[in-house]
Amino acid sequence: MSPDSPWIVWAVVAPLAGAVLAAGFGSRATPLVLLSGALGVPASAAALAVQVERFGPQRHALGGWGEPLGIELYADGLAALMLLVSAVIGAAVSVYSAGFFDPRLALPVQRTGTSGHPEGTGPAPLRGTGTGPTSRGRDASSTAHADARAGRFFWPLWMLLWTALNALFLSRDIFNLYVTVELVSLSAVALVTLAGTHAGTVAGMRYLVVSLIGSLLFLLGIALLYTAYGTLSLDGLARATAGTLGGPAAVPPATVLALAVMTLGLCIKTALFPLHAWLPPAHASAPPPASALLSGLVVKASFYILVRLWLQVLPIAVPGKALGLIGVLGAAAVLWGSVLALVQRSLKLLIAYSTVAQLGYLFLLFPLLTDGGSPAAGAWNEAAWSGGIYQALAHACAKAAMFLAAGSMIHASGSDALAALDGISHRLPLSFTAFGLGGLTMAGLPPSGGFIAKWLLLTAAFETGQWVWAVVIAGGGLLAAAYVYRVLRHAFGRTEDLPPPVAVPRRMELAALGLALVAVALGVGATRPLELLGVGAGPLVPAPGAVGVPELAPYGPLPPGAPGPAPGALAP
Amino acid sequence: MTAPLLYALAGACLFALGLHAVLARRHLFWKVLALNIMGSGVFLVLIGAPARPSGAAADPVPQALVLTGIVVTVSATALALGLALRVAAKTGRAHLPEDADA
Repeated sequence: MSPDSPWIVWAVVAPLAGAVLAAGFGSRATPLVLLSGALGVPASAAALAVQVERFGPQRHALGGWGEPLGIELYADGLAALMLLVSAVIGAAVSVYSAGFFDPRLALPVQRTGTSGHPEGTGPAPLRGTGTGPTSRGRDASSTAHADARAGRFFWPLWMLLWTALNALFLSRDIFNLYVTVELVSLSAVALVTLAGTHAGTVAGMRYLVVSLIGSLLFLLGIALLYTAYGTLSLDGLARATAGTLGGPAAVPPATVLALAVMTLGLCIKTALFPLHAWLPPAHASAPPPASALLSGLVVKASFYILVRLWLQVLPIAVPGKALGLIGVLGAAAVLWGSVLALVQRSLKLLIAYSTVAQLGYLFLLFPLLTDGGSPAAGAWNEAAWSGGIYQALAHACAKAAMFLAAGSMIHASGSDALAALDGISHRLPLSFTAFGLGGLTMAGLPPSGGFIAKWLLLTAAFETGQWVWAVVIAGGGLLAAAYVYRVLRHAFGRTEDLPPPVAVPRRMELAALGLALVAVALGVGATRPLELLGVGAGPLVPAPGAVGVPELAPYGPLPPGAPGPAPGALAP
Repeated sequence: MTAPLLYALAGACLFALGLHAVLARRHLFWKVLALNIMGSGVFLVLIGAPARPSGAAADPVPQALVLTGIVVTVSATALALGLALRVAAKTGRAHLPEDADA
């Protein structure tokens, strides 16, 4: 492993190649797309993570043009971990989708089928080809056309979404962040509408309008920041603001206003309570693999930008009171989302409201990071930083696994209603296990990744003397256990008089289970990811006179000889 | 009042008008139009507001940003119009139904 290998570039190029192949060659390219998605991207992400672990943050100036004008890719521990978790989820979703969108699944004539299909390059023939009841078969054939269409568009959209996500995590300037977050949103909206249903179309339209409002607010903030500082690079902005004489009180009001509108836009996109109403219908009506991506990754993207802005780029412009306010909204999301999850009757809506609740935990990171002061001033609480980010990672894996498992269970039982899940644990033990293991993370029970995250947040609450947040963290866990139990109760329910099961491709079940096991592994083997998370953490430029963040080793300013044109090179 | 400030205020007004319309208007075409006006407001701020010494050439960076922003807005508008047509075809009206779950 050389420190110079450009794995950081491959992490963006590999999914982009998949997108081009999928768009250009349709289903004939699916094996190649799978190869680039399920192998290429995880390999690049893993290699990049090892590089960051061994050699520190990685930086690559595209085409040799660095900041302030060129586009730079940059990976510290946080970016590398987000990339790695997306890669794991993406690989699982790709494998799952190869089964889910297999045209032969939807066609009852071919379900019993001998495997003599002319398109021999396609995925392996379905195993476990039990015949469904004929009435269901007819339903399936009526939706077969919609499914075939969805399958054709799913791959290019998903690969584009993956490209945009990876580029977003590696971005080093705010305008690039805007473009990538917009690409993420547009492809996510298109994925929601793939279901082709009435509910899916309406939910997708609402998601698009809401998400565009969020993006434009973010762009307005960028315009204000550029007006004030004449730079777009995260490092440049951090350098320009960190040295503000007189400390946080002397930050110009335009900067605080810019940060406020950007925060509002990002909170809309992350569905923070009370701006969450668009999320449950959109996530619940998308096709299952798309739901997994939306709940697992897409909402984390805007949260990631928020963390970068608040804690690393402009910490000096964040008043201590704002940290408390956003924490209160997060706490309200935990409680309100959990309560609504408790009263849902449909499986996917229950999981979607659970997402609203679990996203609330992410925002507890902000108040717990300090004991009331500005994040630029004092030392960070390391447990809060690790716990908040770990919650994002663990929830991503677990929630994606739950949506994938739910897709299999709904396919087998033929209905989205909780009541239709009776006895599903006997019919789809693998999917059911995946769902249950994901539930561990939601409730924060050991040995899951969610347990580590919530434990760290609890620790931070006690260390900083803010025990009120501990009540929310514990209460949210109890509520989560209750709504997961509602599903388990049905799943373990009656075992006699069940309709004959509809076959689910084994790869769909295994993909969900694998992902759920990763969520558990995040709990068992937390040391290495947590250490990686510390690489390059802390404000980009420590404020003058700040105590600093000794454990987190802040990333220093660029060396003066960094590549790229001089700032005034284009001025006549 | 200096020119940059004037541009910034005009841009902010456009943005606010658009934001009001996108929330208040129910017809989807109005919403898409209003989103475009919000975008134009931001572009006006980007182009007009950054102060520059008199006589110096204009800063090319915001112009590049606005060009990119226009490309993004056009794509988003295309997707929004296509989806709006789909909503109209499915529900018979080019409106989003009132929130049932809010």
